[in-house]
Formats: sequence, C-alpha cells, structure tokens
Amino acid sequence: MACLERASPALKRILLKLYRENKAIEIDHHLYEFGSVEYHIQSSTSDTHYTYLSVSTPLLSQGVILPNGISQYTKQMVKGICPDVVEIMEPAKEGYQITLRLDLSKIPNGKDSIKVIADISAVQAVILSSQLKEMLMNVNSQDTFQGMYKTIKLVYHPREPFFIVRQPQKILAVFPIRFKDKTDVIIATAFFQELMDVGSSEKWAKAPPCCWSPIPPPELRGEPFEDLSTNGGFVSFDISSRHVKGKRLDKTVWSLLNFYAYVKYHVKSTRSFIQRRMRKRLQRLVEVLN
Amino acid sequence: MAAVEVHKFAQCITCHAWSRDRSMLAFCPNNNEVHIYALLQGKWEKLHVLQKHDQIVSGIDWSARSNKIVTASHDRNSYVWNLEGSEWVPTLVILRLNRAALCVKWSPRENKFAVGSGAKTVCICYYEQENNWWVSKLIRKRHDSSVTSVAWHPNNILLATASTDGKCRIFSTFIKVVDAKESRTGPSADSKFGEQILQLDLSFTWSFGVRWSPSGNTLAYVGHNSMIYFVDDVGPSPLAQNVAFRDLPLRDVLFLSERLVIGVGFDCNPMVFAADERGIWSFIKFLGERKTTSSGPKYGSQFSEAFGKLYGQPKQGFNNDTNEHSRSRGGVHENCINCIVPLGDPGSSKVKRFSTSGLDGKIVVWDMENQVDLAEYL
Amino acid sequence: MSNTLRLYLTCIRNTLDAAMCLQNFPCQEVERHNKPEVELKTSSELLLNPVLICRNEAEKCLIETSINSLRISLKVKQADELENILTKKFLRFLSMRAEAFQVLRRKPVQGYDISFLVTNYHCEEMQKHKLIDFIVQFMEDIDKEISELKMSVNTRGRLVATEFLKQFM
Repeated sequence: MACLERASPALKRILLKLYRENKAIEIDHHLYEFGSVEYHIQSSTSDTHYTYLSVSTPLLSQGVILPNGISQYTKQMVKGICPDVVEIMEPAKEGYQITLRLDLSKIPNGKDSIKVIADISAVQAVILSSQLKEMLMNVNSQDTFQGMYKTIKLVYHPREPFFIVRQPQKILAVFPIRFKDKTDVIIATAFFQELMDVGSSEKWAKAPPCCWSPIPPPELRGEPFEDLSTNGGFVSFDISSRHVKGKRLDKTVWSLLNFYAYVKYHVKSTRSFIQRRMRKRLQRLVEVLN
Repeated sequence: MAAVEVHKFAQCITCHAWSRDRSMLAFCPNNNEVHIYALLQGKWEKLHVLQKHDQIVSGIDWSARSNKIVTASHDRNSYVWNLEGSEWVPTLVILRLNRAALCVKWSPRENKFAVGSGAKTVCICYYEQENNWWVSKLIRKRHDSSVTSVAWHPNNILLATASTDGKCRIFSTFIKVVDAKESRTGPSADSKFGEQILQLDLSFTWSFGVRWSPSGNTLAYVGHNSMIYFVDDVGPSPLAQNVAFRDLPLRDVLFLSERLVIGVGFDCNPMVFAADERGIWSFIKFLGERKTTSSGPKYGSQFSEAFGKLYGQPKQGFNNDTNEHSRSRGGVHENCINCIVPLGDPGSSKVKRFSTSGLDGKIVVWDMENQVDLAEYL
Repeated sequence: MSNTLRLYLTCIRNTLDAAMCLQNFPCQEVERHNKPEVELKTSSELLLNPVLICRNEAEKCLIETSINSLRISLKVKQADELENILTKKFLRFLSMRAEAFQVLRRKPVQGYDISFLVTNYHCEEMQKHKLIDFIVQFMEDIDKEISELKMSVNTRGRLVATEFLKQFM
C-alpha cells in the first residue's frame, strides 16, 4: 500500500546517496517526520568508515513497559535488520532513543543493496512494531501480570492513542475515533459498518473479529475521560494467538499500527471521490445546456 | 375555427393595438420599443420602430378618429405619437409619476386618456391647446396597491380601475375644460374630478382586466383567484355576480355584446362567458381547440433529460414509469394571453372580431361569425 | 416509483401549475426597480399564502408565490447521516453553480435543502409545463442521485475494508 510505507523515503535517499558515492562525504542532517519522529544522520570525512544514524521516536507505551527506553527485544530486532551493517551504539546519542553505527561498505553489491538500504530506512517502523509485537507475543502468557488484565495505552501519535487490553486467550485492540469534520466521521462510520460486515462473513473468519460501537467498550472503564470522549466511536479488534503466530505477527502489528492512517486515507479519498462525481454530474448537465 | 389569423411577430408581446382600418398594428416586443407593422400587398411588414421609452412598454392604445398612439412604460412616462408625414413624432406627457406606468386607454371621445400606475394612482391626461401640451391630473386617493387596468365608460366621464389590492373602483374624471356639461348624465351627474363613485370589494386577491359592456350598463373584471365578476346597475346599489371557473386565472376581458364576454389569461385559450335571458352569467366554453398531445415522448429520469425538457431539446430516453407530464396549455396561443383588443367599428354595440396577444409572441385574430352556438348571445 | 412519491410529486406538480401564473410587475416601493416580490416581500398584498406540501416529516416542499415570482423550497429525504451529508454536499455543490441552472436559487430558504426561484422572465423564455416538468424531475433525480452516491460510497468502503482484512491473512 502506497500510503503506508515502512521505510522513510527521505532517509532512504540519503543512505542511497552515501552508499553510491563510495567515498566519505560530509553530512549532518536532521529529518523530522509524521508522528514526532526525528532522525539524525552524520557522516564525516574524518571517519570514512561509518555513518551514524540516531532515531528519536515516541515510545508506544510511555512508562508502562520499560521506563528507560527501548527494550532488549527491540534492540535485537533492530540489529536483526542487517547484522553486518548495523551496530547499536551504547549509550545512544543524547536526546535520541537509539543510535546506529552503519558500515555501508558491508552492504552486499547488486540488487540486494537497495533492499538492505530500504530495510535500514524502516528502522523506526521496526522499533515501533517491535514494541507492539512484544506485547502481542504474550497473548497466552497469563503470568505476566498475575491474572490482572491491564489496559495499556499506546501513543504512536500524540493525537491518536489506542489501547491494548489483555484478556484470557486474546488481546483486545481498541481505537477511539476522532475527526475534526462531521463529514469525515460519517464516512468513517460507514466504513466501520462495512468492516464489521465484511469481517463477520465466513470468508474472513480468520481475520481478527472487528467491532464498532459509539460508546467505549467496558474494558476501557477507568481510563481518563479525555481518552474516552470521541465523535466517531470506538473500533476494536480481537487478536488471538493465531494472529501473532510466525510471519503473521508482523502483518498484524503493522495493520494495527496503521489503522488510523488507513481510515484517514480512505476518508480523504472518499471525499475527493464524491467531489469528482458531483463535478462530473454537473458537467453532463451543463453539456446539455450548451 | 374561431382563430382566423395567427401572426408570430416576436418572442414575447406585452400589448398591442390596431389602427382604425386595421391596416396597421402596433405592439411591444417585451422591451422598450413599439413596433408598427403594416399590411403591404398581403404581407405584414415592419414600418416603424418607436424608440423613446427606456424601459418596457406596458400599454399601447391607438385612437381611431385622431389616429394618435399613446404609450405607457415602466420608465414612468407616456408619449403621444402623431403621424406627421411618414414619421411618428412623440410628445412627452408629464405624468408626474414616481413609479411605473402599467396601462393606458384613450377615452371614447379621445380627448382624454387614463394611465394606471404602480404609484397606486391614476393619471387622467388631456390636451391643453394654449400650451400645446398634455396635462396630467392625478387621482391619488383610494388605491392601496398598483392600478393594473383602466376602462372608460362610454359616457367619457366614468373610469373603472382594477388594482392589486383586489378592488375594482369607479371614479369620475370630469374635467371642466374638456368635458362639456351635456355629457354629464347618469350616476356621475354632479361628481367632481377624482370622486369615487363606487368601490367593489368582491375579490380577495389581485384584480386585473376591467371592461364595460358596449352600453356601459355592465362592468366585468377578473380576480386572480380564477373568478370573473359582473356588475350591473353601477351606482348606489349595484348588482354583482361572481362566476368561478376551474381553470387558471384570467388577465383581461372583453365584451363582444351585452351578453357575451371573452376572458383571456393563463390558460392560454380564450374563455367564453355569456348571460342567459335572466341575465345570469356562466362559463360556456373555450374558444380555441385544445391541443391534447402531451409534451412528447417520455424521457428517462436523469437530470440531463430534465434539462432537455427545460430547454426544449428532448433527449430520447428509456421509458420508465415515473413520469407524468404537465400538459402544455392552450392551442393557438402557447403561453399566457395578456391582451385582448376589439376589432370592430368603435361605437358599434357588437364586436364580431377581436385579437389577442401574449407571452408566446403571437397575435391572433378571432372571428365569431361561424360560432353558431354563440350566435344567440351576439 | 412508490405510490406515495407519485402522489407527492403529483400534488407538487398541480400546485405549481396553479401557482406559476406570473407576470411582469414593477416594484411599488423603489423607483424604476423590478425585482422578485417573493424575495423582497415589501408589499404584503403582492404575496399569496404559501403552500406547504409534506410527504412525511422529512420530505416537504414549500411553495411561496408572489405576483411576479415564485419560490419552491425542498426538504429532501435523508434516511441516515450518510444520506444527510451527501444531500447537503450535492445540493450545495449545485447551488454554488446556480448560474448554470437559471431557476436554482444560490442559497436555500432557511430550513430547506434547496430552493428554486422562478420569475416572470423565466415564464417568458421557457414553456411553463417544461419548467414544471424540470422541477419535478429534479426532485425525483435528487433522490436517485443521493441513493446512487450512497451506494458507491458504501461499495468503496467495502472494498477498502476487504483490503484491510487481507493484511491479516
């Protein structure tokens, strides 16, 4: 899907440039991206070997899981992008969650090079999804919170928090829906109805069951009022162990993280669809006049 | 067929008038001009265009004996046009109006004319020999809304008016310098200029089109509530009859005889009203044959087809069950008729021919000669 | 077309036939002006009683008549919120381009979704029965257009929902 690219295009371009130059060049870039993400790329002629990439990203769940930044699991996942090229520096650069030392000369030649660079550019997506993965992997681990089913608020984007609720045998992901414009709410609501409809059909029995409701689900009882007041209701997905097995884990995590973006994109393109259709309609009428 | 001549002279005609011998015709093609056509070798040709008004011309009257044309316009002015040589020479009449002039009529003796106005007044104009101009005297009182129609009683003194306040009124227009003493007869015998003789309050909505019968014994006017009113014994104790009909309202009326009236209006087809031997008026029939065809093939129900209808470019569409169509009204005339003019000797008590004009731009001449069923009323 | 809709439209058609008896009428209040009296409403005697035709609470048609002009205002059926915003958007879209439609009023009368303004000039240029046919047809087509638009929006939603769920497979 075009709208939900994992790799940061700007980062990718810079890395590609560095890679293709084949010699050290002076670079000191700060990149800022949607969702309060910041990258800092440094490469200098004095240190011809390495390029340094530091990433600052809002942590999904501030203070709930790990008070002091990125978990070991996440670090492993980052390292796993391409172990030959990527080295995690300890400690991270001041103001960033993680700093990578990249040895671009280790990138294999040929077709694979582009893929590796794209993978590195997706480092933020890896960090993000690793955090959620970690939570979801424990669908069945009853012991984690000693039977207490705790609600975790995930803030991928400051204005778009969503909730993960552990329950026996499953995890519930709840998305409060808010739009500035009434029209957007209605288009989105119509979409949620379709999502429920489609999801409940037999063909999609394996997808996580989905539910839209104008009022917060009971599982969110006790959450702060401002998190529970919406104009578009709540969408929830039941994630069971099946959805986090093996390769599916990655897909599930990515779909959940991008649910907001997905809905927004749909609303936006539906609006322009309506506009286009009306314009076409009018044009046909005017043609009759002339 | 009662319609003997049909001429399409313009897109839309607001009013028309004939010269005494019917060889010339003046009409306003819904703008600030008056076009004069003449019958030359069997063909109607445009001879003159009178351009003096700067807004739409709302009334034209052509005096039979003195051969003068008087026009009234929304520009608040009137002109009296006199044919000098081959030119129509206008004389501006200072009406002293601050609103549009809506209708104009020469008095029977052609020494006065009356102009109804949107200023809720009536102007009575007469010629002042010594100053060589037309003087306007105003009837200011009484009207609560625009004066839509005026009609002269044969006695040259009484004037009936119709107004959008719903009322029909009769005034004395006696002017010392033009009206000789001997002409004062009947109910107006000792009334002063502008005195209201009678106010008829029969219609609860706008009244238009008022006329006297040839003798002046009966008055007819129309209301926008699809009614026509007949009033006998105009004076202290008038006798009124209200005749309702089921079709669209009328705009103007004309007496063909004491017992026969033609009404024209939004139904696009002249309506015949007649009084039986007891003097009871009723609707008799439509004069023209009605077209029964509907507005063509059925259209599909997309906007474009609807537009096709609106702009007369029918698009053949798929049939569906959705549409009934409004029927197109009338027969000879295809839009509202707003003017009816007698064609006969002035002063004659019977009119056998008359002409109508309307928003369809047609002027139609009607002949009652062959209307056998109406002969008893003529 | 359902029977109640047919009755509703027939009633509107007949009322318009009676109401559309307009004539050129200059302003009584302002010198050398000629404006639609139904809009100015300066002379009460030049206005007729308005007629309100209701199919139900949600669908109604207000016909206001004056001596030289007539205003037709429609409230269109809006079964749910989606129909509601689609109707609003579509009618607003048309109103903004009212010059293409001649008889369409730029702003609907308060409390209605769309208004037409017919003056004596329209009656002079166009045939009355065609004007009436057009307005009635327009009303019918609005309903149809809104349902079609709604259907397409829902279909799109369904496709997008399917695509989303595919990601989990």
